[in-house]
Amino acid sequence: MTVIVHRLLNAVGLLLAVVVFNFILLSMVPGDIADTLAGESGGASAEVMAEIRRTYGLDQPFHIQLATYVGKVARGDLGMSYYFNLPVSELILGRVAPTLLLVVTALVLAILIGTLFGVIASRKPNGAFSHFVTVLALVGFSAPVFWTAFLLIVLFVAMLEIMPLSGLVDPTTPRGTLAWYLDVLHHLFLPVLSLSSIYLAAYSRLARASMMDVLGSDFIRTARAKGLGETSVTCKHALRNAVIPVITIAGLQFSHIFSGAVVVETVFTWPGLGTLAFESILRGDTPAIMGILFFSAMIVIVVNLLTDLAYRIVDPRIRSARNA
Amino acid sequence: MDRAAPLLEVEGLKVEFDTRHGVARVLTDIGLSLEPGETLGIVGESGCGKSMTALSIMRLVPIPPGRIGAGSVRLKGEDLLQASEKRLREVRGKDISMIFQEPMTSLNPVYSIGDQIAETARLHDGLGRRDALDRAVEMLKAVHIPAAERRVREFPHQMSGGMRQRVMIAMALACRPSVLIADEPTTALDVTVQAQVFDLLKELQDRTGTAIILISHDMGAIAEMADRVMVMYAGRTVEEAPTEEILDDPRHPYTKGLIACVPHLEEAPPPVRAALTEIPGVVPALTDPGAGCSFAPRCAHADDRCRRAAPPPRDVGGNHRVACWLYEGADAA
Ligand SMILES: Nc1ncnc2c1ncn2[C@@H]1O[C@H](COP(=O)(O)OP(=O)(O)OP(=O)(O)O)[C@@H](O)[C@H]1O
Ligand SMILES: [Mg+2]
Repeated sequence: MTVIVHRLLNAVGLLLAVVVFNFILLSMVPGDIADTLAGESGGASAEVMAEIRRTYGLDQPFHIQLATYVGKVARGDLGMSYYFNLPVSELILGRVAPTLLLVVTALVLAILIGTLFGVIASRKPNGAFSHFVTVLALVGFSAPVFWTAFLLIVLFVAMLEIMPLSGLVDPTTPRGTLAWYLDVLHHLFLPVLSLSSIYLAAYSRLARASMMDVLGSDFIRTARAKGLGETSVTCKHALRNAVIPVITIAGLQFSHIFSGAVVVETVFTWPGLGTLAFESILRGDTPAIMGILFFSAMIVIVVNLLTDLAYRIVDPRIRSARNA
Repeated sequence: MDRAAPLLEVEGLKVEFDTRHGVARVLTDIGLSLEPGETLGIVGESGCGKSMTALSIMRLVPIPPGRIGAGSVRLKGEDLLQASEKRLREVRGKDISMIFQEPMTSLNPVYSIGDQIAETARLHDGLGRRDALDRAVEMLKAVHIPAAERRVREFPHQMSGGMRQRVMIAMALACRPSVLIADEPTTALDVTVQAQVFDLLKELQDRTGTAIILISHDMGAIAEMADRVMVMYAGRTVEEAPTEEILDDPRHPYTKGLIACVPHLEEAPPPVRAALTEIPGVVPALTDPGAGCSFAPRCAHADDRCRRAAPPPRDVGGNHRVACWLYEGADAA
């Protein structure tokens, strides 16, 4: 119990650090809202610029600005977007669902299929499939996401013409109907495929290595000596041990897959946080950028807590060590 | 010598491994037999093929790089080396069980010990979940683990090495096998715990009539536990005899060396592992054994013939067999 409290306190401290760090970092970027707005309206007088800065509190000394921002964030107020003139939190909440749909689907598929590939490959370490997994891992590891995405577009959209190019759903489909859900899935296909391909490669390789390691253990010999068949040995005794490193990496990589999502969302104009982040940077919308950074940091921290939980379920050693 | 077939009979067993330096002849012409309730001790220094003999009996030799080149392993007359993989899985854990040297790593860390014991009972005796778990508790009690009802739910990492080896024994005996192979069951344990484990094995054997193949470095333990002893050297059997006979009258120079290395057998057995290396010289490489007796390079009595040809095993009377040219004239007709 104390362990959980401890971890939560840690998480809060970490979030605070993220907020302060983001704020400092973004305040070092040259240009502010006044410059942005002035630029858009083709130049403005010094008084107007000063007026704008006053409205947004930018005339205050730096530490006051920082304190105000931290205080607001603590109350759940992420400020107003310069561009949309809407609360940033509202903006983010409107974009979370598509991103989570994309990221979680891609990650889950990558883990499941990757583990399956790894297990099959480990059964015959010198077989053709095992070599295929090695090559897949190499390609997946070295190919940039945007490149994979463009290749998939060329293949599925331009040549085969069976997939939509962009967006979340065809706007003419009536919302909430079965057809609407199916259309979302249809649109989801290519972004998920692009995003999961890199991770699929990584997980196949990891699962293969981990399985081969575990299959050489003494307790596997014990399992065989008991008279268990190869299926039980692999799926029951080896797999459960072999997924432990996969869970570790999946938890660590969740932040990675977020940055991958920015690229994929931008390529496919997927209306998620990634496109919002990308566009906000172009627009110089500092509150929105800070809000998104804060929000992603929060998600990553929550996922780390969940990973910890998953560990406890799979690995009794951690369960008892941390219950103490 | 035409009695009923023994419980377990190994004949002419040959195991080879493909290695980078060529074919390693890990076992050459190994034979042994075991009667119900009997204990056979196997001794010999590290790398002489004791574990490989055990694994061959269970047909668990890793293939490749290993290969069982020749021989037979007959359990109640049935040759396991010719049996189907399916039949073999029925035998493993049911008729022949094995416990290993490394209690710390031989149990699966992610399953409770109860689950791991119950698994054998479910597999071979077709017990349901509840009954199998009851069997696990019963087995834990049989190996004297206190608070068995509670500990059955614990995980391997919550137990000491001695406790884990008890769990391994409980698991191995859960389906009442007729043969138990114990491969250096106490090497990794404290001296006091070692004695407890041997006492436990003896007690369980008296109760169940299981035959035991006990592999050990510990001549003292062998002296106490075994009815017969088989001495191995570089993948061959060099001597085999009833325990008393071999202790009182060892014939092979290697066996003599082994026993001389144990100063006071009647007192607390000292750890023999260190002592064994006190026989000077090194074992020839298994990939290049040469034509002669493999012990010749270390043997004080070795002459030209020993270096030319390997001695065949011969009977010297009193169920005592030795493979050494010194006893050539001693053939008991
Ligand atoms: N995978 C392998 N490849 C090549 N040689 C092997 C392999 N496994 C075992 N051996 C060889 O087989 C021989 C017998 O090994 P084994 O494990 O049976 O020895 P042991 O008598 O049990 O020794 P210890 O007392 O150390 O347990 C050793 O010389 C070893 O080098
Ligand atoms: Mg061994």
